[in-house]
Amino acid sequence: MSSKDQLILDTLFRDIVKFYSSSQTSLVTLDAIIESINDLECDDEMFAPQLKEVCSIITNSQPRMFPIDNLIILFEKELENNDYFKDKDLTTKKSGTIEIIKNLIKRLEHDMSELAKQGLEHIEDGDFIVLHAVEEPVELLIPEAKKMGKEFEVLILRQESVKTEQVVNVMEQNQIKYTVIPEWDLIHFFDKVNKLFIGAYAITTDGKFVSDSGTSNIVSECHVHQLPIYLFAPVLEITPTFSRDQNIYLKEESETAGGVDFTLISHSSDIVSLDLVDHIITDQGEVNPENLAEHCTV
Amino acid sequence: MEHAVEHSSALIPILVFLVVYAGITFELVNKAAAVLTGVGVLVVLKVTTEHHAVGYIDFETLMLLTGMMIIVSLIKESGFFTIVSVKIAEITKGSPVKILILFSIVTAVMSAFLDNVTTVLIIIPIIIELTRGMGLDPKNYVLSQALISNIGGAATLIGDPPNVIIGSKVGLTFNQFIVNMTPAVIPAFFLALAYIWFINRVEFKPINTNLTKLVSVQLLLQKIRFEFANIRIDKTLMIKSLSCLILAIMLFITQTMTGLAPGVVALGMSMVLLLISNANVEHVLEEVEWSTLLFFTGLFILVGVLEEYGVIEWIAHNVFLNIGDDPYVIVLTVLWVSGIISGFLDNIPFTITMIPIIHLMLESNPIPNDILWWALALGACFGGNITMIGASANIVSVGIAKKYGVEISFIDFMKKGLIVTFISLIVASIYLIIFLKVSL
Repeated sequence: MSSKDQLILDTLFRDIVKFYSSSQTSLVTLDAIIESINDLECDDEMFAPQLKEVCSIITNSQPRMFPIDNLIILFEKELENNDYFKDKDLTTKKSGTIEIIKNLIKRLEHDMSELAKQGLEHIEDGDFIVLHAVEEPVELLIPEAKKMGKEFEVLILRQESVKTEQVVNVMEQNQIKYTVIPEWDLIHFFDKVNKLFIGAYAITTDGKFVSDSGTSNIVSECHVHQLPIYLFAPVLEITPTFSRDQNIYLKEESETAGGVDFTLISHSSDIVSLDLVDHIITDQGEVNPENLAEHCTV
Repeated sequence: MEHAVEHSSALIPILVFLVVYAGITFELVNKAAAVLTGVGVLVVLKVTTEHHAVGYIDFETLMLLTGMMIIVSLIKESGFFTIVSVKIAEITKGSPVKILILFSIVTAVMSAFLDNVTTVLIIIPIIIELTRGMGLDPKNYVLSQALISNIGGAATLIGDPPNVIIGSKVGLTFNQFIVNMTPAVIPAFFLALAYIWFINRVEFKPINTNLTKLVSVQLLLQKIRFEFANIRIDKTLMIKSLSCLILAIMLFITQTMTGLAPGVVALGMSMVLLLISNANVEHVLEEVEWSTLLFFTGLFILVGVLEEYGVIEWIAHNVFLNIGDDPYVIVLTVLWVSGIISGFLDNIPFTITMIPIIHLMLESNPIPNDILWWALALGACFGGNITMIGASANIVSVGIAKKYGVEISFIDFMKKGLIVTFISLIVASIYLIIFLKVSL
């Protein structure tokens, strides 16, 4: 495996997840693998090593990204069950592999749809919901609730421009009433808002969840102000691994302010304790954080 | 002295011209400010009067440039170029050779019918995004697009500023440019592309044997689609603006039948577009490169004054008319001198200066079929590729690349630009020799 290839894919994941939820990023990645298999030209015996390399790069991404990480583990298991289509010609190997990926896509789409259904029960008329990034609630829940005729409003906490623009786009497309404020201005809205909806990149079995940068601050502030916090994630985002194994990416950039050069350090994602979350909603309904391992799919 | 300059006061316009030229070439001051300051000095020193100066301005060129700038800015606003760029990126599927070839074809065609600067402004960001995302070095791709834009722009009357000036001031039509320039431009394009591929062939290896790279490309395309396609697409404006561009080109082509000069057509169609599109005129006018138009205006006056004082005639007789009367030598001298000088000095002032000189050369040695004008046009356009200061598109390309963190030095540019120019000028020489042989 080339470290350059790993770096390229890591960068792409970090960029794409700015405008898609981790579930949608996983779907996009699976589609990309199908397209790539179709375009691949290699010797029969090189097909399996190439697939293994792609799987290894995805499961070692910085940060680790779920559900794709778990889906790739399931994909590899399925390939092993089929002995990587050994002794078959390349065309059969390709079609067999694509079939497995298509099934995983169907499974994820089903889970996302179920998550939306489960989530709808937690949106009521008159709600004023806090959102901050393009996560599962923004992509799946909020538009679905609007389509069902529920009347509510959202408060968007401004993040990196690309993230906030995308959240605003979703609200505009679905004609949902929204207000945008800087993240640090939330303190002035606690008498108006009544829920915080967030998503995750991963839920770890040590009682943490990995999420978009900025989540930790918002969750902590909302917890202090006793605002109910809802975490929406398909069970495919639950991993048996620990939070310390999530490959959080640390970025160092040179910046200049007022003629002074300095190094800006930032992380790709936050690690937040599930103790601060009031409700964990999955495609299988609300789950108890103490029973997370039972819901782990791999 | 038979062709002496009119009187000793010609020293002032010569001095002003040289100082302005140096200021422009070494980018010491803004181009427009430099030439207009020069004009101001000439008027204050009573070398010419303001009323006289206005008479030197070629309004046909200014009308053509203004009109095309307005049309292009509205096409750009409609999102058309974004769609085209994303589609090409999708078609290449990340193949390095396909990226080079397809983007080069699009750059060449766009440069021929739009201006080169607009073309590179659209193409360079997406090519950097695409190649960098794939882990390739964007430098060669940026350089190739800058070089190709200058070659492609040579094909039409509206493709490159030297052609706009020659066409307007000499009265050559759009069709004449296409018919007489493309036989040199097309082989020059393919040979330049082949050279760029050959010297970087290791980088252009196919990626379809590597699944990881293919997956990365697919994800990268998804990212590009999102980033570039998130720009607002205005279908109505797109249809209207493209229709006006097509109509303008049709009117350029039928110029001999309609009798409408390209400047009138371009400005006329741009006004029609402004009216039918309900565009925000103030916003559109902000997109017009006024500094370029003022630069042209000032240059016309500076060269006009030099002409008035007999300086141009003196250069023609003492430099270009001393090369004998062999038409082959004359044509090739104009081509290569134009090519080499345009590489180191801005090709716009050079072309404006050369036009009266070529007129004088043609008086002494009539060369058929406007071949001397084609030699000037090919030399000025192709020569712009020698250095990064040779053409506006080069400066803009290097500037955008720098903004994206891709450093291209003067030497980096010249290493490739010099050979590409040499190849193009050889192609142009062969073409002009054949053309002359057939014409004589």
